[in-house]
Amino acid sequence: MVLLSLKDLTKHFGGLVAVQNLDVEIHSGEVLGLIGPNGAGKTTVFHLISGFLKPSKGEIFFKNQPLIHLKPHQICEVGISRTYQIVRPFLNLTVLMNVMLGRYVRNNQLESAEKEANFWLNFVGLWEKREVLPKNLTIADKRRLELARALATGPELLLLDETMSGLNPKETSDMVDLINRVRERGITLFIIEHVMKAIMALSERIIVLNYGRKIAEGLPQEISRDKKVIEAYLGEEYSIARNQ
Amino acid sequence: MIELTKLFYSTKSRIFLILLILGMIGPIFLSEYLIHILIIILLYGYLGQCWNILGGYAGQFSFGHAAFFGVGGYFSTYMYVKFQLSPWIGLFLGAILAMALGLFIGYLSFRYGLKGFFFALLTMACSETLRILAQNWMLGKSAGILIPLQGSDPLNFQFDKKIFYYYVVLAMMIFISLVAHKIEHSPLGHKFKSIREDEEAAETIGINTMKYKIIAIGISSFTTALGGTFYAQYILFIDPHIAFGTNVTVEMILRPILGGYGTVLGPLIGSVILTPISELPKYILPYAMGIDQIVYGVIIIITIMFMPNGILGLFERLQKRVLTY
Repeated sequence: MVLLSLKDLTKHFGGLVAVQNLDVEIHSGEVLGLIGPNGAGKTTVFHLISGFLKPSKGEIFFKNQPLIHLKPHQICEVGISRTYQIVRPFLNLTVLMNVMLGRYVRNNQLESAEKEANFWLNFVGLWEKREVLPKNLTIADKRRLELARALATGPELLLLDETMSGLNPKETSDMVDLINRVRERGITLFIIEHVMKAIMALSERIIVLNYGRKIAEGLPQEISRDKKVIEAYLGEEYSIARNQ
Repeated sequence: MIELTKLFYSTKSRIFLILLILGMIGPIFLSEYLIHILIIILLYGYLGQCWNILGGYAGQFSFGHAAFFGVGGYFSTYMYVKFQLSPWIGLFLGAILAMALGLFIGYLSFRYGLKGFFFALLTMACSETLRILAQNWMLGKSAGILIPLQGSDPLNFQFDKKIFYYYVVLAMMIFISLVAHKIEHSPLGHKFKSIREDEEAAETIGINTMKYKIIAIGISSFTTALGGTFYAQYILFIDPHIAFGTNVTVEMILRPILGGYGTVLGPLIGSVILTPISELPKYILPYAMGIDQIVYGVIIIITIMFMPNGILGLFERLQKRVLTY
């Protein structure tokens, strides 16, 4: 079943075209990767889906419901959540409070929301640090916090924006395991990532963006050998070649 | 109500109860002047908390709260002087009017995404507009409105002894503290704080930030107006400067900022410290005009430099313990 579809999605910022005529379909339960050089428009796509930007042209459908006229909080209610490239926890509120706030969209009762928040904290491994303030967490923990908060909103589709950014190899590997466990719960994932190892391991399918256009789509193996993709990533040619 | 019985169990609550009893009985033994000081402390503590709900909890810094204060004060006063409407009723109706104004300003600002500096400017423009209107066009103009002295007229919100005004403002302080406490420990309050921390992130997790900001300004404007009526009845006079001048707004903002914004006790602590500091120099050095403004300025500078989270924030940092109340 097609969960999310982007049809002819286009976004201009004045003269700059950030996203051009993008057609994407994400199927329920799938893990779709989104890669591309810096500035390719990947995060812009996430902003468009999550409602922070209005498209200049094109449409977005979630379970056949159009999204582009919804406000961001309504898009969350409908079942789409996201994390950010640069983490945005509520810095002066405890870890637990952060996740409870994610829960309130589904459950507005203080006590039971707290219990459910604790479940997600356990899931990501942050329960011991639930009374800590995010400013005192490591980057890896902050990413886990943001993930827990997004999961607490009970999404069907989760948009992950460069979750591995800033993590060392061990942390990256832990995060990949965590994301796999999220997938096992049946949540559909749309992942932007630069760390090739991670995205190749996680994705069932990958879409490649360059200058706002889709230049390739297919299985990870196909993508890593695609000539257009390698050209776009000239600087990272070596790391892609290693994966062949 | 069940929460109230929990009040008896912790030491902090017992201290609170002792202070409350002292607060209710103590003033009987104090001079009229000291009672006056206490009234001002409590009134500005009350107003500070009203502002705090929008500014400290929801993070929307209003620089025009005098608008709500003045609407409350002018409405009840005018209704009483012109139509003999009891200020107790005028109190309530004036607050509703102020809330309508607050919701209107809120809707205008938040609909167009006004935040931070721009929101502060808009609210200030609002209070200044009202001040100029009151000065030039209506309601007694610059001369203001005098409330006829009746001596003792409780049904019309006039008391012959200051101590009765004290009990009224004490009740108001307790009321607003309970409101703040309820907000602090509820999903509503948590959502306010999330908006303060990062509005976009809050939207992302499904929080309707527009709705909650409107709720915050609604509560804040309504309660602020009640303080306006009280003050008018206390000094038996209102004029454009008292009602809508930036003085009131500044006093309201300083309390939570000094004491700790986004907390239940902050505004009161701020007022307990700030009010005597502004009153005392007037008493000791009556010829040094404006010395209280200099003192205020110094306090603001010190607060911003060393205690950006106010006194309660400093306390928290020193103790490394979360002080929730």
